[in-house]
Amino acid sequence: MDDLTSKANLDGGFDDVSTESAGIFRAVLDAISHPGTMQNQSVSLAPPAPLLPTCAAVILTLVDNDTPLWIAPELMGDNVSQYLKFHTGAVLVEKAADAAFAVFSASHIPDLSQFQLGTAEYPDRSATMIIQIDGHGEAAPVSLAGPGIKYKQEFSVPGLDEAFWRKVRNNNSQFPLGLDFVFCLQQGIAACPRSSAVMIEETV
Amino acid sequence: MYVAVKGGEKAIRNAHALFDEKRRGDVSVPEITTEQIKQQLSFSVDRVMSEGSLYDFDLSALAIKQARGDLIEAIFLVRASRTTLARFGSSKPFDTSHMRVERRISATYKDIPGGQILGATFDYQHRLLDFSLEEQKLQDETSVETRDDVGLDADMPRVLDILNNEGLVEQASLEMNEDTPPSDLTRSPLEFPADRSLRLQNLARADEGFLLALGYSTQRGYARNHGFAGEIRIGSVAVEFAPEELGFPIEIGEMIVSECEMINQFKGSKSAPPQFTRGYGLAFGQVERKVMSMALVDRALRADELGEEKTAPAQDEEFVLSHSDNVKATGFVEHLKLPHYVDFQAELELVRKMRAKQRVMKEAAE
Amino acid sequence: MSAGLTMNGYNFAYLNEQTKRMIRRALLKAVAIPGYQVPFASREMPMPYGWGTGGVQVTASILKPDDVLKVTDQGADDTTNAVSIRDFFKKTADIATTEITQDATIIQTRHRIPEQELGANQILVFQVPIPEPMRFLEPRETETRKMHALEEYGLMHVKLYEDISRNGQIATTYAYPVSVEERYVMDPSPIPKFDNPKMNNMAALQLFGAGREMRIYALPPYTRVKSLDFEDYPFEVQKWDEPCAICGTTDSYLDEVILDNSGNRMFCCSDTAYCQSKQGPVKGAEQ
Repeated sequence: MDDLTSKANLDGGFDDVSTESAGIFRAVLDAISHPGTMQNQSVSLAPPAPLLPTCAAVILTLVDNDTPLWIAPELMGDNVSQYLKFHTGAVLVEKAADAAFAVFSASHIPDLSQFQLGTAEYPDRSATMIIQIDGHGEAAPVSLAGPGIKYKQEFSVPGLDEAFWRKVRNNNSQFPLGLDFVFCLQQGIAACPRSSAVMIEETV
Repeated sequence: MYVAVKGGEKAIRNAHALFDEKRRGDVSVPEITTEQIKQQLSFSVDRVMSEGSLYDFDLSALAIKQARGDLIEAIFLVRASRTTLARFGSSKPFDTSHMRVERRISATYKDIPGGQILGATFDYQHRLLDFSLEEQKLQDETSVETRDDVGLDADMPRVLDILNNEGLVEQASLEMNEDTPPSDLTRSPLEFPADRSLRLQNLARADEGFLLALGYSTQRGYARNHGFAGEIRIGSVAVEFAPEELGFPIEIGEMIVSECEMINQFKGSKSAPPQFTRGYGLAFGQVERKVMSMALVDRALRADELGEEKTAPAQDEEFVLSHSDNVKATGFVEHLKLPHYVDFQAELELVRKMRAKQRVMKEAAE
Repeated sequence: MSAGLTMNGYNFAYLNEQTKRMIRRALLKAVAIPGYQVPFASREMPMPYGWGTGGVQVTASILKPDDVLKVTDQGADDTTNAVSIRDFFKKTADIATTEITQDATIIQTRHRIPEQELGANQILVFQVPIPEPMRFLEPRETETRKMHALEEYGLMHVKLYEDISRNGQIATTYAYPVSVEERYVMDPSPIPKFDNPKMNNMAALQLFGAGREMRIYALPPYTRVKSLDFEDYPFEVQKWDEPCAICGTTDSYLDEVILDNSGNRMFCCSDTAYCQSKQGPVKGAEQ
């Protein structure tokens, strides 16, 4: 806690934790219950750059000192780590295999195979990926099917290319083990749980 | 027109108002104070603290008053209140060999270094009703010898450590590493197999009656392990906590606890030599019967570790740990009072249908 | 009123934030793995275990200040336990409540699924006593967990089959086991099997909380849920020979009500809100 010197990072949290995080949680719950749909959500947080407010809000809502947190190097300035340590109390881990939550940006997808997928007896002991979408890059169109989706759900997110979706498709093939993905965009939150089958659309 | 169980809201309100009135009893009798409960019903208070998992004499006394003396209800009240509290961290393991002892006895030696200290006990009392207690006495100062009059040793070595010099008793098997905090079933769900720290936590919160019956069953041949009360000690211990920002432990207070170390006979198995084994009990307050039972059950639950055949309920981890909590048990047993008429209706219909079918088949056969 | 505290001084919806986060994490896992029972560190609530503590913890963790809550027990809004739970949330979360099924955003239920079809903007929270569908066939958690891991559900089929050979039919009338997306066998909670078909492809999210047993599980919207059966003994639901004596509907689950000492009886809807809606105009939402 000795590096908590910058006052700026102690502000910028929820004004009213219980009601605001309740709203954010419902957006995440809706997102994961309806894979590939955008849940628009306004956020009052002012996290240090480059963390997006939606991304910070999801982290503050789900992560605490019971859940080791892995953050990709490119997101992890001093300010960000101070901010997250202060507001969540989470232990920041270096080894991806120790993480319950991982935060990275769409432009730098880490090696997903290093994260915990859960076990056959406890598939819930898996890591959740919180992906920050900065709005640049290829948006490969995919359609999702499975629980939460009536027929099929078209979905595309800037920065998430075909290579990424192939990994997600592979992730689905390991069901009930697997990672769950939460996408944090400027305007809202979307998700793709391990249960969603991914069809990669032919691009012209 | 008939409508089933209408007016629930009003009925509940009235029932609760009636309860409050009954609790107060005859208003010509002075109302009991929580301070009186704390001072004069201290064993009740201690049981509520220990099974309520919250070291707070005042809240326990309040809960006992509110529950009209129903201790399981009082434990329930304390537990529910515990749910609203934030948690700051875990204390350092406390060292009971530095206990400020109020009572300390060993059944395995006639005398022990530091002495046998009876303290305030039911033991050797004739259980004759004392009708003089019916009258309120004006108490003058007591002439009883206290701890300070006798001049007790500050440190009292544990009896089992003395015996252990000969290597006859197994080493304490609970290897606690200060870096890995013990399991905590209030923070993560009980899962099987459970490690010993988790089992001990479960037993420390467990219903005294349940533990007593299980401990008793081990004495009657169901997982017989023949316990000796190596040592029972009751007294206060210092509690230390190391806040993250300080980096070193500070003493944050004292707790009164009861501790029992059982020494159990053990003939040896494939994996362990013949030696005395241990069972351990520790809980908040003066709860001697509880920690003795706990130690017997702890020992029985170590069957796997010691390579013993598991034949009895007290050795069955899933059975013991899943049914030890009286707040859960009382809730689920008492939930049978709730309406179940939808499911009963479904069963009713099935039984009618099956009886009709049977009748038809019988008639066809005749 | 200070931030997040209700007028009674409790944190919004009673639970502290740390506890809510723990439950919320379990809920997300439950939705991601439909039908799988996620262990969670259930807390003691101010109502007894077995009286809906699992459902209450789930509801408390998903509740937002603008939610409208409906609570039913046996299908009825005015049964004592439903009243008690509804009051608990009025007191600790200061939220609006309703008896009208389609006005509710969250419906907590014990033993029934509303007759009224639920929509995509609604969440149904079940109170579950014994979440493990095979618990009465195999009391050990270590064993049943293995069976789920290996997708080894033979025991369950043997039980149903024995029913048939003994009784000529499957003698399970409530808590009738279902298979979720052809993967996990799941206990639907003690709803009558009449309600099982409503779970299949339901537009609303279904969440299940078992407090005493420390498990949370879920069915996302539009999840395939099939009641276990055999080709020659297909699953069927209860039927009644007569309509509801109050509203005259023929498609709802009926309770039998004893009318007098000589055992005369009548049948009426167990879902009181549905029965009301079939009778005519209904009461509005109360604050």
